[in-house]
Amino acid sequence: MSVRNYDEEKIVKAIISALEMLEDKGTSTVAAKDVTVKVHVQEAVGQVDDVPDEKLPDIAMIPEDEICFVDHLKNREAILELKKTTPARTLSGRVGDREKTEIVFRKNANLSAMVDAVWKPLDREFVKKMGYPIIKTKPNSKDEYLMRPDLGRELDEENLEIVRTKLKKNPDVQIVLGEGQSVLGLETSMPEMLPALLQGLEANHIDYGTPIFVEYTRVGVGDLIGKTVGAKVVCVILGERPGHLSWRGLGCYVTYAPEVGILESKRTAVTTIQDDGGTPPAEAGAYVADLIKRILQEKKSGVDLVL
Amino acid sequence: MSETILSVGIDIGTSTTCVIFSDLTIENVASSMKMPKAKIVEKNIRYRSPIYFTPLRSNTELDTVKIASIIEAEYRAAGIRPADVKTGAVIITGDTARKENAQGVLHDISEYAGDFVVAVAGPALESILAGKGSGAEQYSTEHLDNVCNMDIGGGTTNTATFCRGTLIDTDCLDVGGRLIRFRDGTLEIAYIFPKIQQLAKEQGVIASIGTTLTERQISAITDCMAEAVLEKLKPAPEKPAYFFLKTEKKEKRANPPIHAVSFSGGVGRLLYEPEPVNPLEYGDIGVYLAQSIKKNLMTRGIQVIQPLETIGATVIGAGNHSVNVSGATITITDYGVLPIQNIPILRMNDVLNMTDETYASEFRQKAAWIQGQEKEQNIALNVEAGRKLNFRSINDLADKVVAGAQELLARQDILVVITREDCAKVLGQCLQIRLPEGKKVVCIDSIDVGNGDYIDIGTPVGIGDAVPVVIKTLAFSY
Repeated sequence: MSVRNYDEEKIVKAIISALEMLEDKGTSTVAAKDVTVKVHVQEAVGQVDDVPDEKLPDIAMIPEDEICFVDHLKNREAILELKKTTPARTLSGRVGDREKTEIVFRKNANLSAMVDAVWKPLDREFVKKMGYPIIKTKPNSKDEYLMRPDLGRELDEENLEIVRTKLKKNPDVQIVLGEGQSVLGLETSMPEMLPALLQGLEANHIDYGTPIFVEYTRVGVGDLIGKTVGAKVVCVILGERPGHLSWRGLGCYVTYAPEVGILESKRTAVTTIQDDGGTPPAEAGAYVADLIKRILQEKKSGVDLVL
Repeated sequence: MSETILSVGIDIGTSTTCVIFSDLTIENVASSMKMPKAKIVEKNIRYRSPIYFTPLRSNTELDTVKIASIIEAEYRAAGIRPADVKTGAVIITGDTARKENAQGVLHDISEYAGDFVVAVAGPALESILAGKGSGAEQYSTEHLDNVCNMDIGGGTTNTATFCRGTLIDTDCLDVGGRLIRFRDGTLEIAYIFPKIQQLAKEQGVIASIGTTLTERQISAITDCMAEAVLEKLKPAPEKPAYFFLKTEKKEKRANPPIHAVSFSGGVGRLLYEPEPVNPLEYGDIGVYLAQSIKKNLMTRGIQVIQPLETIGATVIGAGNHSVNVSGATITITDYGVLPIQNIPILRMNDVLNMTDETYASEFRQKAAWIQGQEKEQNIALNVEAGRKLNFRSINDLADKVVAGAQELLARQDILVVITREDCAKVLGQCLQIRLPEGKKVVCIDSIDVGNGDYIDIGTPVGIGDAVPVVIKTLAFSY
């Protein structure tokens, strides 16, 4: 696999030969040196700029397990086999004591994906298509949501009214969905997880009332909603704070007998629900359905529930 | 959180019989905020019996009564009741599996086998267990190398080749130490295996019961056996002796190059020890065969590694390595159906790219082939889609499985489905809602099986829903 449209070695060689040439000619001024080197190098690797951008491979999209920049490997095949055991960035190689250009680019690309996951505006059409009531917590902007976790657990009167009037009362489980800190997680993993969860609940004859979508979601808002509708259990599924390799992840928090201010230790969590290195979303949905069934049977969740 | 289960391994071989008991520790290796994942993290041998000579009633019959009493005595010596044993394998190996009453032995000792101990014999499984028990698999995993283990016992040589920890090939040859036996302290033949007699003849040595051989004649025969066995180390064996001594006629196929070889079994052990003073210590050709192999190896320049286990490789394989654990998120709608034993695997590949008609007809054809006349035989369905499955494709898969299995379900109440991908919870759920009341679903994942395998599924081990699974490769195929 090659991700380069230039030949590092060729460039280095061209520069060295240009410098040697200068020595021979005894060129004295810095500017003259600069120009000569530039011309020479361009001659040597002139085709660089001929490749149109759209023909270049997207460095960020190459799967991590195909990347191996360590030179002179004794058994490259075996090393690549080992790489399949971890999604982490390994075998990135180096140039002197610097990172390779591709690695710097890939890190930047991953970082951008992380930032996008948080900051990408919520796709209202996508949310509307889910067909559930839509509310928002107190923050008025993404900035405020990120800076004030406390406000993300609260609802103003208008939104609370929707909870009181539009949701089915006293369900076995109240499902609360949200974009949380990853809009990409919501968009890619929720359509896989949710149907499996609902199918599982139906198969177990568990009443899941009316699921609700909450913008600017914090896990704690589920306690308020669950308590308000009189649900036995609340299940909050929201976009997970992204990391360099996980920006499509969902987190799921199931709490028995929810009430505002309940201890975090009372929640049973299933995290990193995503393809590639996480829990496959559809399988997680089916698993959480069974988990909710058990929590209803044992009447407890979190550290009290021994799985 | 961890659970320990007791496993037994019983190996009844051509020349020796051995029993071991081991503790297998299974742990949830996922962090507390993830779905559980069960894995066997430790294998400790708790008790190991001495090595007994396998009691025979004649050259063609095993002494069932004596075998049963050896096993009974060893259970007592170890202080273990059959009911304590949760899993394991009784395996009849080598030439012994060809004895007339081999199947009967398995029946007679079944009371010591507990609820979920599998009784099997078959060259492929024997090769696999010896390869794992010897430590060759582990070596291959750790060194990222291609390693072949050759278990050379009394009756057969079983080879297993591991490519970076993955089994890629098994083979079995009629090469063993006890294929020619001598009368006490002499070189007069007391027993000779017919194929070896023929091989000797081709070397110009007339050998039959009562003949007295010279050492040179014995070496001529064992050199030829060694040549046949070591031919296996080539990517594509070609010597006629190799094909002549192979127990099963398989197609020729090319394997990746083998970097290192290890030897186990009674004769294999002799390769790592100083030569015995008396080559007739065991009254057979074992010592001569070991010498011939040593000599032959020197001409090949292949790396020879010493395995962790030699003579006990197969029994340790049976006790420690016969069991796998399934994924911890699976579907079993009624635990009362477990354990399920001895069901054949029907594998369907690339299911999602098939039309319903192709799927149904291929399924029917394979089912008929597996069931033969025994229409009551249940079948475990192994479905592979060959890619990551989303919710919709899992539903498509469930539609196909249920539609294809109508005929099977008319006779069976349990639908057994096995996958490699981690999707058994959601797939099981999809299957369940498509089946009428009264039909039960057993859907497990993280298990690699193929056509021709048989599978046993035990009761949950205590980590999530994970169950122990034993995969058997062609029982009694001699």
